[in-house]
Amino acid sequence: MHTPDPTAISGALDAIGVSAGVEEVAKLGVVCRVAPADSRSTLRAFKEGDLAFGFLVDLFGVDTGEAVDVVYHLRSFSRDEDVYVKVEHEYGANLESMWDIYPAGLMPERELAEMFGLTLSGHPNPRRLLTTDGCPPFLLKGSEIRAEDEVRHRERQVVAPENLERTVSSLEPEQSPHAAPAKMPLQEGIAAPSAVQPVDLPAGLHRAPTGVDELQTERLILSMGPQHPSTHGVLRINLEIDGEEVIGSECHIGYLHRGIEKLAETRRFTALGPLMDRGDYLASMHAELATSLATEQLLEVEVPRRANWLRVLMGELNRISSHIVWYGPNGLDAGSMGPFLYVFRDREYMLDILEDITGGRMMFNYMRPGGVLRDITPEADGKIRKFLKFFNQHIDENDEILMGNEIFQARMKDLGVFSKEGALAFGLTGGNLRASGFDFDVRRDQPYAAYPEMDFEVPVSTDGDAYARCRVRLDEMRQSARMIQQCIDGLPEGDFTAKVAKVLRPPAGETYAAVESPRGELGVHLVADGSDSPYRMRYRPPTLFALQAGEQALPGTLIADSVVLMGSLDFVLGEIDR
Amino acid sequence: MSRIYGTGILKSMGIAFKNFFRQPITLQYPHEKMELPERSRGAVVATFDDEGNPKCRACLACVRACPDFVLQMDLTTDPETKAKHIDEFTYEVAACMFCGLCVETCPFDALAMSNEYELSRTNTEPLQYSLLSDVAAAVPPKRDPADRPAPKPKPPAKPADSAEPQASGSESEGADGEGDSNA
Amino acid sequence: MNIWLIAILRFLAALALMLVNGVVLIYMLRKVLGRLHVRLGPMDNGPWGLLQTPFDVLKLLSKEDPTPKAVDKALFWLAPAVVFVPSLMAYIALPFSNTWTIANLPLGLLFIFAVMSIIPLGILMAGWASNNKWSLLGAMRAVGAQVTYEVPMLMAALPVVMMAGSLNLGDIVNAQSGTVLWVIPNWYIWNVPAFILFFISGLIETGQTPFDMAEAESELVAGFATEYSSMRFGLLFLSEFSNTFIFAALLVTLFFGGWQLPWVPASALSAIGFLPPVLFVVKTYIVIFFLMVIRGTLPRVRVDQMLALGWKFLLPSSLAWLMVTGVLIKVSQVLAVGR
Repeated sequence: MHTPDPTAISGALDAIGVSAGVEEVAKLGVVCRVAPADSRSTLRAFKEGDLAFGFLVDLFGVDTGEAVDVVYHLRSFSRDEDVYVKVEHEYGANLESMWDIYPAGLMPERELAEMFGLTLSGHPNPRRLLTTDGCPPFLLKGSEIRAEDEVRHRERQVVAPENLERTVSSLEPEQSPHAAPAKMPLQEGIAAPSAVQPVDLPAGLHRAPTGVDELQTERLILSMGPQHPSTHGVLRINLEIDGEEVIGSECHIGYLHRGIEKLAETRRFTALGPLMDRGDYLASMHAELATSLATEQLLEVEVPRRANWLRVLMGELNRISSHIVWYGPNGLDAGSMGPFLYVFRDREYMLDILEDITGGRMMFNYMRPGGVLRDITPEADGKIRKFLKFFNQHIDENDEILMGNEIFQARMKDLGVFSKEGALAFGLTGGNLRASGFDFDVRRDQPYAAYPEMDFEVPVSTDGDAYARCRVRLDEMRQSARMIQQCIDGLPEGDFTAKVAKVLRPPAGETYAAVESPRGELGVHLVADGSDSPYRMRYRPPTLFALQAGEQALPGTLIADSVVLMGSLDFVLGEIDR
Repeated sequence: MSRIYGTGILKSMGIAFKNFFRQPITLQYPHEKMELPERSRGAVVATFDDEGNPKCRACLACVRACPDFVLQMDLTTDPETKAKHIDEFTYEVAACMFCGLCVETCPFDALAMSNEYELSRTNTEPLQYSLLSDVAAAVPPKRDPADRPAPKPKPPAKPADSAEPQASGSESEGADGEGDSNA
Repeated sequence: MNIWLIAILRFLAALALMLVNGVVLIYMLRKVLGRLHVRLGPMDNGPWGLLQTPFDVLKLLSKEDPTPKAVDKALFWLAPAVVFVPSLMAYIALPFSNTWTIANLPLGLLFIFAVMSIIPLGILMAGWASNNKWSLLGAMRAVGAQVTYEVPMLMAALPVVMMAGSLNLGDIVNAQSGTVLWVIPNWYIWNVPAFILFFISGLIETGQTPFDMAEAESELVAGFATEYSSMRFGLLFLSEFSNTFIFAALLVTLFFGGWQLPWVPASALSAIGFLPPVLFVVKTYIVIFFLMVIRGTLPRVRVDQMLALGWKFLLPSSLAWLMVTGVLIKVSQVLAVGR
């Protein structure tokens, strides 16, 4: 990871007449601060000019106490550089959407506006993302979650009748959420067409459904609702269908929103582990690892070699088990019950191994700033070796039983094709991106833990359809098994953790750490202020971007395809909703 | 139109049929229970020393470490001897997420995670119970004054949370104050 | 005996057959799927879970039967009956032995096909009356599929009819007695293309995986039956299993020699009165076992792919094979006469 050249950035911005403050912040990188009025032109200059920062990694906000800092985290893959563009907005100001410059920001902008009390203009679907009306902007420091009221004291929790109406209104300036919103029945949940400013959608992006056509009565609006056997998690997709074909689609999320980012501000750094576990609950190790890495960057702690190898070992075990949870239900979506159970047998064995080492089957709470919690036991070592023996045989069988099946291939091929440019534009990372032909893997390109010492390949495919995504993930499982074998054989001696204080107080600063979770680049942006809990923790969910890409790719498919398409993107609502 | 007839289908059916003859792996739960590994995290229990006294010294480190405020301790401190008496050490198992942070934080190994996972009850009363009640907190053993190490400079007034952990997790006593690992 | 009494007894026999069959098949399905998935299936109720299905039936009978407010009451009430009764009616033409048939219809095969084609109507009634978009989708898919495949199914069965010379199922079974060249049983399974075409069409007609999109659990929750509960759902569910049995029984009758054993003369079998029906049922259950293995393994074919398969491939092929079989039969007759 290189540091971008501040003078080049200042030069480019001066050329378009924007006064910017470009400086290099320790542990973070180059930060470029501009005024809100210049934000769009700045971002356009970053994307299209010589600077060529074409990838939006993340878009989030930080409440500095006086204003809301909107942070655009941009990346240039060709030069391997990251830059942060910070724009300071007043409380209650208007955020201009820049989705046409970086389409990856479609959903993150909505979340930002809702969580920080800003209004959103110029967006094709400017509605609240995670919460319903009546919820205050949670991530502002002024909205307190008092610790005692969070969980205890049943007698204090009152469900008032007015709380039962759930409406989700627009965030647009003309329809400020603070005014009384128009009551929309939750069943339809469609913005009235006249209220939404029509925005010219470029080719390839489809508008959310606009309601039943008056003259033709063939179109139905179907709510593939939060309770559905095949939406992976509590996700609601409003599909506008004509017969069996999907014409419009709109995703509603937030059913699993627990306020992880807000709760992180009340937890100590060591207690962030259980919290992050429950974000992407299938890849708990990776979420904890990202947090630990960010904390270690702030503390400037060096992790012993054995701890790094153990981190890789656990991460790869978790990767295989997460891919299994994707693979089995993917087959089940397509209708095939057998492979689901066969792969879950292997997963049970893996969870037994993980329970041997960490004590938990799914919420591991294992990675700590400084290393890992406990060492590996000899029984677990034996179990891992036994597991590798039968896994390599089973994976070939499980591969053949589903991927070799012509019916399955007919369902998955040519479905939901993302071109390389499209995938990059939507911020996809991980297997979804590699299946579209772009070779980027955080483990190899921005290595962490013991990955520089590992010998592995990164599977890439150029087809970009659902079948390619399946193929990429299956090959990743094989590579993970290879890495586990290397870890077990070559585990170095030493400490399994560095000596860190029990209560961590990192010095004030901010940093970003990313890991390659099974779903993509899972990043944690941590802002510390010297106390024992983070000031702001941002969890970059890799599958939020996949979800919005999938939402745009749905029109044109059949209903049966929509289920399979969303399944092939491998998202987990735990990390999308946080 | 897609080619649906083919060898792939027959091969997948062959693989599935092969599984027909494998030994089922079902563990019939209420009748057969799984053996959990010893590190498995179940409900929290208080530990006792050989004479049956609790090891807890009422330092409240676990109460502060718990992310969800599941542990609560009611103490009375004798004004002259400064001896602590634990009136009630309650544990709300319904809210516990079995993360194990309390067990990790305790410097005296006074808490442990059992393997108890069958915690369902039919009403909420039994879900909040006492781990220790009406016992005296343990006291550190008397040390020979000659063995005492040289006194360290007093840290600024901060609540003495706990000692620095050793890499192997051995117990340590006293509060040396915490510090950042980079000065 | 009184003709009405005989009729009622026959009806009761068919009903008993259908109910017992349903109970056994549900248990068999759960156990077979369980073993395929390397697990045990029901084990708790009764030894080896044998009492599971009776308890399930009791549960269904005792369940509350909520009818959603906005349904079309008459259609909602009638639909399970329209789905259930044709399945029941199809049992009366099945040949369990030379003499054991509930009704020895001269047009048995045609009768079964005609009766089974009423079922899509019932499914459409169920889906429409439920006032539920998901049910409607499931019903539309089911009707589309079953209407498409009625013709190929009949066309695929016609070569067998031509070879046997009769639509009476008992005659078709008897025509398969004896051996060719003293070794190969004279079963019509050797007419492999007809078998394959009939098999695929039948899988779709009865809504079996890989073509079960009418009830695609992972997409449409329970398809057309989403709003049904308790015994209404029980009737729909039972009729699905009955259709499976009827399809398997037709396969056995048309292609596997009915109640006959290979190399054993039919007269010897018929002498032992109860043996042919037992053989027939055993053979049918073997076929059903194979269907269940398919059910537990293969993914589902998408609706448009399946309809394309029907209209573009199965229909022309079945017509073509019909012609080829006719030509071959004529040729063999000419050769036989000429010899």
